[in-house]
Amino acid sequence: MTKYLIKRTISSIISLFLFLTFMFFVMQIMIPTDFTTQFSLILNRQQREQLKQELGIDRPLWERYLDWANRLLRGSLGTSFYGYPVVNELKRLIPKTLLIFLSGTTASFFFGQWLGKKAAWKGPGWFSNLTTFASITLYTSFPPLLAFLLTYFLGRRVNLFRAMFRGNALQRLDRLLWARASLQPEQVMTYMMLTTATVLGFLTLVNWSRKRRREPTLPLWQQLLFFVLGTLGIWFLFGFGRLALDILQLSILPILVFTLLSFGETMLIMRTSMQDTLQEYYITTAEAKGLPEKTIRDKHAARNALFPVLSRLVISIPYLLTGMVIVEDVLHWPGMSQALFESMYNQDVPVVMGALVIVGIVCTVTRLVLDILYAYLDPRIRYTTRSLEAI
Amino acid sequence: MATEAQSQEILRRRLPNRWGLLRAHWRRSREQIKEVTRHPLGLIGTGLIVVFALMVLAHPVLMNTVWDRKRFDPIVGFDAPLAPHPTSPTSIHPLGTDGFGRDVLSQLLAGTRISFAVGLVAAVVAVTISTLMGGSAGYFGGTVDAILMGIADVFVLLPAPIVLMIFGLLVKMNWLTVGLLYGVLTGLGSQAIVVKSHTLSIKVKPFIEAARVAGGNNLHILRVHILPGLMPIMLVHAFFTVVGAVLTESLLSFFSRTTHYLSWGSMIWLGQETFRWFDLSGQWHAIAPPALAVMLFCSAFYLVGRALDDVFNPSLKKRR
Repeated sequence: MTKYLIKRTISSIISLFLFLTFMFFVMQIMIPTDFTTQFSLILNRQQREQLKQELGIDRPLWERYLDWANRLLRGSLGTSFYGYPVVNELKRLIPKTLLIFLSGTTASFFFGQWLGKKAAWKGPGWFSNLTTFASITLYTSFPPLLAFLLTYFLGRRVNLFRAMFRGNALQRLDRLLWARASLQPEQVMTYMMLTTATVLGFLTLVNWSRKRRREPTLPLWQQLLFFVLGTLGIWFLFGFGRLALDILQLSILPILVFTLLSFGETMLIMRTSMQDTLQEYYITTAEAKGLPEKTIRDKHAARNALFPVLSRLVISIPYLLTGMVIVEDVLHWPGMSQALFESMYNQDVPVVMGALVIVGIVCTVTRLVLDILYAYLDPRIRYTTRSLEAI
Repeated sequence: MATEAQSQEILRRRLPNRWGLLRAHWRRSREQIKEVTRHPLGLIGTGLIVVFALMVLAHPVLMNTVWDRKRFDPIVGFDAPLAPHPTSPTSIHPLGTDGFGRDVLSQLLAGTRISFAVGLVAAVVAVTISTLMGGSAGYFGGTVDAILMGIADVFVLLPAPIVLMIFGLLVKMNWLTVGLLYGVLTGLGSQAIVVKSHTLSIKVKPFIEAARVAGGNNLHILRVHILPGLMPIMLVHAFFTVVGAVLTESLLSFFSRTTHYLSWGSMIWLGQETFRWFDLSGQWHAIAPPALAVMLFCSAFYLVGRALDDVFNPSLKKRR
């Protein structure tokens, strides 16, 4: 296992670096002219040459690449062509994107696999047909349109959520509240994510310890109650409860859209794989032993059915990120992808590369975690290299 | 005693003709393809694909017979007598006109052509690349496997729609470029890995060893024994690639990153922009047809892909 872990980590770091190299050269080759001729028309020739020298774009491509790689390996993302450090810009953007991405992905994964499990367990019938129809519709529907329709009906017609058709979504935060607060929205978002993760981790620990002592785990409603009360309690205890609720109100629509966009696939795969598992002989054996239905469904069938869902999730991380781009663009959420495309327009290569580094790291880390989880759950995988090959 | 040449000749005659083998495989898969149309989901999907194919054929026919070119052209047509535009559905324009006075039905039919073209190009490119890469990586193993799968690992990290959106900012893309690039990006990435794992499962079967004992070289084994075994998975993935490619093309058109002036994506963009211009009162007759078309087109290909998957991997068939 340790050997597998080391091998997998090293190979994914190498592939991440190759990905970034590829994107670097694509950026440099495809941008039509250089920054100075495009955006500083007031300068005369001498000043332009000087600016080029300052920005370092007068040097040959390979030299620029080596310089960039050298800086990246030391952990520096460089400075933008507009003068500010890239890291500061990214620090402002990452929490906004991660808030939607993480909560949406988690929600869609759990909801999708739960629904798939139910649909397969109930067998053919109206429930299975309805859920399958809904999932195929969501999976194939045109993402921007879905986002638009939800904004239109839930945000405008019913006024359930605060939604924006134009401008910046965060402008609709409660001004009075934020004027008195000493925190920035992105800081509050970071704290929100950290506290939620802490509460979730605590819950997992409680469940695990109960399982070790062979006690039944807490019922679902108790866990949910504990989760909600615990998170809210911590938020208000640390004094940013009202701010956090304000942000939550605003971000619930993007999270909803993102969840709907990504859960169809999980549900479909879970249903198929659960149907497969239910045909196995060990399920018949479990039934013959007279085990309760819930135990068979949740422990014998669903756990084994989860493998294809996990390995499929590896493939779909990039597509989840695409969903993120759409959500940000249509709902005007000022996150990473907005900044990425804006700096593409401005030909601000350092910022673009910085954003791509983050995208690459997110993809790699998620894949690595899933691969390790998969290897932990299914020992056969340790002898090959990739969880994708087990589909 | 037979000479070397004579024994070779005898062997060659006793071995079945490789094209005959391929034909036999094809005959078997044809049976399976027939089975797809008996599958309820497959039947719906096939029916929808036939309808869309008829829509592609209908556009040039209608343009040349019933419709006046100046009024019904999908890109530059304008119905002058019917001002102000947009108009709601009438008998002349069954789906109404959009804000620029163009017939929505004509645009819808013309958009079908582009979706089919993009999907086809992407599927062919992706299947070809993934078979070449995954097949040789799985069959040869060792260094070839390490290098090719290293490339695949890099491309798995590239989300094709996002990369194409970035490309779209820098270069002009038409439908052919979109299809090609989407095919290359998916074919080099996840699909190659999936094909490789299938190749591995075929490679350990006894008939491959028998073929090698009988004197078949690598190319022969790959072409005659492994490629036909990969055909089912290739077909299934071709259908799923079409879904992805069409959605991506619509997305790119929605964000105006393509240079073909007409697509379902750009129609949807125009439709939903009207909701922003005229607060809360837009043109449902202009936005619903392309949206439904994208959804039905993708679900048609998805359903056929799923049906093919069920037929080719019969693990789902009742055991009890």
